[in-house]
Amino acid sequence: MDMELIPLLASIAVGFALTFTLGWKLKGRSEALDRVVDAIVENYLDERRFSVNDLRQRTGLDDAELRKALARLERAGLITRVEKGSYRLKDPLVFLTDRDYDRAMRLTKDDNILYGAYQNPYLPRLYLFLVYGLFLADLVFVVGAYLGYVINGPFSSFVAPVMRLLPPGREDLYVPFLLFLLGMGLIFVDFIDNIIKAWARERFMVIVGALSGISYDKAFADELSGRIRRGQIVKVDLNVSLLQKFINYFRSVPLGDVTVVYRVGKEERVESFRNMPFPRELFYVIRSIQLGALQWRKRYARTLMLWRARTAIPSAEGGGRAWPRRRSS
Amino acid sequence: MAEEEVVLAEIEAGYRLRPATQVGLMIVMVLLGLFIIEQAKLPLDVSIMVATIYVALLYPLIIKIRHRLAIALSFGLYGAALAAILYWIITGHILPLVQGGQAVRLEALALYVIFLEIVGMELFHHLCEEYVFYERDWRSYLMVSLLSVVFFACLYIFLSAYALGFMALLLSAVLTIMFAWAILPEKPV
Repeated sequence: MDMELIPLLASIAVGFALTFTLGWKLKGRSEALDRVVDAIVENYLDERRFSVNDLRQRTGLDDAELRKALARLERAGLITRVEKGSYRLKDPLVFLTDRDYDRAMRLTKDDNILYGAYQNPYLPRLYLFLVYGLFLADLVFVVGAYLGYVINGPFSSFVAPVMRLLPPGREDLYVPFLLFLLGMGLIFVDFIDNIIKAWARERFMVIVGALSGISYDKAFADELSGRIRRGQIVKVDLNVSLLQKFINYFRSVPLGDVTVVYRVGKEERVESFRNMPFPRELFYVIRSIQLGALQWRKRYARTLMLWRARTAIPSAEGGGRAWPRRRSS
Repeated sequence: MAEEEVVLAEIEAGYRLRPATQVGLMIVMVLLGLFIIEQAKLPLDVSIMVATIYVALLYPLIIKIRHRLAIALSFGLYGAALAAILYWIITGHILPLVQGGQAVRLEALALYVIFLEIVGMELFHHLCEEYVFYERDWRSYLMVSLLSVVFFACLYIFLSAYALGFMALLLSAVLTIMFAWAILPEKPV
């Protein structure tokens, strides 16, 4: 092996080892966290509010351990601090920001929100992906300009425009400037993506409440004026297209369409919620409120909560308690 | 099966490829990538760096297993990719200048720092999603504030080379706001 490669391989190996160890430790088991999650799941799933004092008594943990565990659950999005010493349990199928969650609670008069999310804005508007095309163009330009500078040849025409952008007489900044262009391309795309997300949050919010039924935004800056009451729901359909199915293999949040047929007077209407996160679970929730049977949610409350807490709940390696498996119905 | 896998299998399994298929696809895509890199006839050190970055970018797209080892591997690839980029900058662009008796100018260093900050954060969001807290707290705000201060200072140093005066300050501020908003963790919609 070429001796000159050793420092490179060593750098990569050291970088890998350091962050691998960090990742391994971060996912380590925490007895205190297990106890807190157990106490919450066993005692507060229905009332949804609890105080630190109650939790301290139930878990027997000291103050520091308890606050550390609660902070991890708060960061994982499972609980929200409502006032000093008191927390509110968020339903695991709520994917809203804190601000929108509060808004949803207010508009549904403190209903039990079983599901809350936004319709994904990208899939029905594939042109939005052009934003990523901008970065691709940036990448091609930067690579071309670098190759033109280093090896000349067919890419040499890329060099002159970059030179013109540099401060006068500062050719030494050529390569760092290219890296800067690449980095800013990434930032620009992220920035636009955040604007699209902010717009989607204002336009495509959908919530399902245990008593209020389905509420959804009908226009930009709408306050959930679209309503489908529980008793109006006639039929619910779940559709995951081939494209959605393929994308779901690679995307962090799986998507699908849920169509609700509902009756207003004698008229039947149809409302489609496109590209909803975790559509199968949304389908189950809507079916549950339609039938007035929330057993499904109760049965899987613990599973759902643990799933949502995946950033906070450590792996079970090293043995320990066995989770209750799915009960046969 | 580990507890967490049981839990996740209940919710996500229906949407994802089976774990064995994920691993198989990852192997196929890595081999395909290595073949293309080999065909490009790049120097061996550059090939190693490109391959490391390629694997790091590919891994979280294909592997959706939430096992402790899989997550630690993702963190490991983050460190490996960042080390490869850092090595390329230092040995490829800074050391040759130093060895040739030339000074590395402050503006160049500032641009390298900006690039490393951006790439470090973007790779972190990509590979270490398990540690990105979408529920923002004081730690994420503190981190973004510190990085933004460094970004602003470096950008101002670079733009000062154009002798823009107050405009350099203004441009730095606007681009820093863009940077800060871009790196703040946003919940996937």
